[in-house]
Amino acid sequence: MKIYPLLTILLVISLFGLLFFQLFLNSGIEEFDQKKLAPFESNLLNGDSFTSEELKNNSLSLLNVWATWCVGCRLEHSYLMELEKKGISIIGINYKDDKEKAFKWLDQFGDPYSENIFDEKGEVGFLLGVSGAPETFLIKNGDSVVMHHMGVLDEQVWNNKFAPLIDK
Amino acid sequence: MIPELGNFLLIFSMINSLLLISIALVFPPKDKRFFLSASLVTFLAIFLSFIALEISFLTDDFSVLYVATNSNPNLPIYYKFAALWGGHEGSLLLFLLILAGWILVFVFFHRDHKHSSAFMNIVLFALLSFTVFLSNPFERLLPISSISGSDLNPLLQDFAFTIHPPMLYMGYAGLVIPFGIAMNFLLNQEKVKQLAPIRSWSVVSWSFLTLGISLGSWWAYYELGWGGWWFWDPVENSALVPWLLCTALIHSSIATNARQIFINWTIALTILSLAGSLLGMFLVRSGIITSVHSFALDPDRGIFLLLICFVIVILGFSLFFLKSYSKGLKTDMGIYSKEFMFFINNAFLVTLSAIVLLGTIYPIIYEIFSGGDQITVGAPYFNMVTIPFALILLFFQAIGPLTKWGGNKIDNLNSIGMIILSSTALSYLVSNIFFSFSFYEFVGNAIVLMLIQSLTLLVFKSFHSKRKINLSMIAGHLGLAILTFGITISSLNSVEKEFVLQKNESVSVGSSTITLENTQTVQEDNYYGDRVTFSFQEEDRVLKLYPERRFYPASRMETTEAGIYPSIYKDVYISLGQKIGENAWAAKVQIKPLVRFIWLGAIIMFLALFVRTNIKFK
Repeated sequence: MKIYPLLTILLVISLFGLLFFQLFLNSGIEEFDQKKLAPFESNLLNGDSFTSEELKNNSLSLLNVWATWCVGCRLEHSYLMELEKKGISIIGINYKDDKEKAFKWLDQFGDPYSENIFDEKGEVGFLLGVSGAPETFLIKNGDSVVMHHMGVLDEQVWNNKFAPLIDK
Repeated sequence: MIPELGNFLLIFSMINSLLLISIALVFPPKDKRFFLSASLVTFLAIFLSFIALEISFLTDDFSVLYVATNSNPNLPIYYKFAALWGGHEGSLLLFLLILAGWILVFVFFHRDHKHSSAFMNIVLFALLSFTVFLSNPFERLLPISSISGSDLNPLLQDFAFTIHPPMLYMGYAGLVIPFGIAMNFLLNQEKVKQLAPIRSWSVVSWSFLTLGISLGSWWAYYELGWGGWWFWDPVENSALVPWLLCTALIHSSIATNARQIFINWTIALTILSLAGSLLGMFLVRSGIITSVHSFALDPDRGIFLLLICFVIVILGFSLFFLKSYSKGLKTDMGIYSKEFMFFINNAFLVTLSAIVLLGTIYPIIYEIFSGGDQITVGAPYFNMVTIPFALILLFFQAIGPLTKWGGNKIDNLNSIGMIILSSTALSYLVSNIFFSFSFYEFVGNAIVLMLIQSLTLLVFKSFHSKRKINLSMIAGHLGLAILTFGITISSLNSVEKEFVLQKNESVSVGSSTITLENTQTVQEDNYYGDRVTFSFQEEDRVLKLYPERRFYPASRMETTEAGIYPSIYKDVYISLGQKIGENAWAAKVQIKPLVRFIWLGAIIMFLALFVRTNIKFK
């Protein structure tokens, strides 16, 4: 008779154990297939022009898609400021937004971006395969996308998805 | 200010619930009104906190993070109200409100239970603390700039969606009540009568689960635009598992009440069905599986939810094995008795739920043991393994009600024989004459006919004798028979065709003709898109259908709205594909006979809740 309690507890523990294990597995580093970056040209928020050729000057560049209408961008903003303080240069892509509002936002919350592409109609976003904001890309040698993160960038995402690629 | 008040009330109810648990277990109060007042306070606090969040939604207070991510100023006011349960945090609050409400109702009717409400409050407290610490809907987004709010997922801006979660949660939360009753019984080892309320409460849960699941299925049918009504989606499955277990629980507790048998089994089932309900909640909310329902969440929350689920299941089973009931257990039953029918019912239902659960979590198991390979378990597996079991179960459903408690010979042998013979013969004829004969068509129709005949016989007999009749059972079983009929006919006799049409071009499907009449653009507050008018001509009748493709700018999502012409005999269903040229569209038409019977049956099953269980006609 004593076998049933043992069996039940064993079954319960193994079922829950599997689910726990899977949760930890999911939070690990994700594999990502590299993709070629489509070349683009656009204006910056300050009016200067910008081409993707300029990205080739750095071995790694971080592109962050943001907008003032986007709640998630407001959430990740403080973390972007932290990254900037750590000396990581971030190129912003102001996506389908209003120029005046964008400047007001940067004045109010701080400007973590080294440069800011003004993508008023979402053309650059289209070439990059952006589906919304916020999204963050890691570009290697100015021509290949090694990471494309959709959603808010926070410390956990950074440590899991971006830091290992940068340390390599 | 109002969100802070809501948050405070939520914390207050959490502490109150913890107090109730500790007082009930450590210093059991003499005055039984204690539980009633404590449960009332908890319920009111959660209710006011729910109202506080509603106010934030209705006044577009986008400084609240949850409101900002789930609502939009352009949303019609009704959807603003319902947007509260459109995301993870708010839907959890709704669940808590319903659970606290059920506990209050239970305590009101059963004041003689010493510890039942304490065990129910353990579940309530665990989920309350999860909400307060890890999923707080009142979290502020400060300082705030010109934010206009994101949007409620467009797929969910729909009437059925707005009542689907509350109904489903009534069912899920209701499963906590039998668990509490069973735990109280184990702890105090009083009379078996103490287990009696499990029956009515499991029926309550079951009815609302039935309604919730069928609303979801109806929603998927017209909103997702694929024309199916059941997809074996992990989330559908995780609602089906508790439903199957709850069905088993109803029957097992009927046997326990009537014959004092299956006592420990009934108790085990209360634990299993609550575990199924909580595990479903975990699967949906942890992001471990992907589906339309899943809320993308961070793993921390998943781990906490899994822990809650684990602790409650272990608590239940520990008490079950340490204090299992052993006073005068009866186990004898003849194979022709009603007891044995209930045994078959339970064995099949539990096996079915295990099969569905295994299929649902198998991709997870596979991913772990294969080192990261991913597979999906789809409809073919589920259909193949569940349909035969379900058919056998339905066969016994026709026979079971005709047997007697403690019977040791086949009662009603003649009637049962007649029912089986006449149904098989009639089904064979019907399947040949009206449909192209197939095995499943024949078996499905035969079983539906058996069910209807057996129910008719029961009603007929009670008219001619003084025996009581359980009308609730008749309604539940009849609903299932109608649903089975709808499934059999619509899945085996649907016609579908994909086509591309220019303006004024026609295509023929079976005996009918479809013409693309015109295309127009539509513009509403929260979306814009294309609407195409098709005419569907069948003999002399001409129907108009208006499928749409919509774009929701706030959340940048594209959806398809199927054009459906519903009728009791058959549905005509057109969904739009891509726009090909200036006035040309790709589309798909499906003609589905008797598909409405599926939901009609489900509604009758739900109504079983409101019908008397003991009625004498004479």
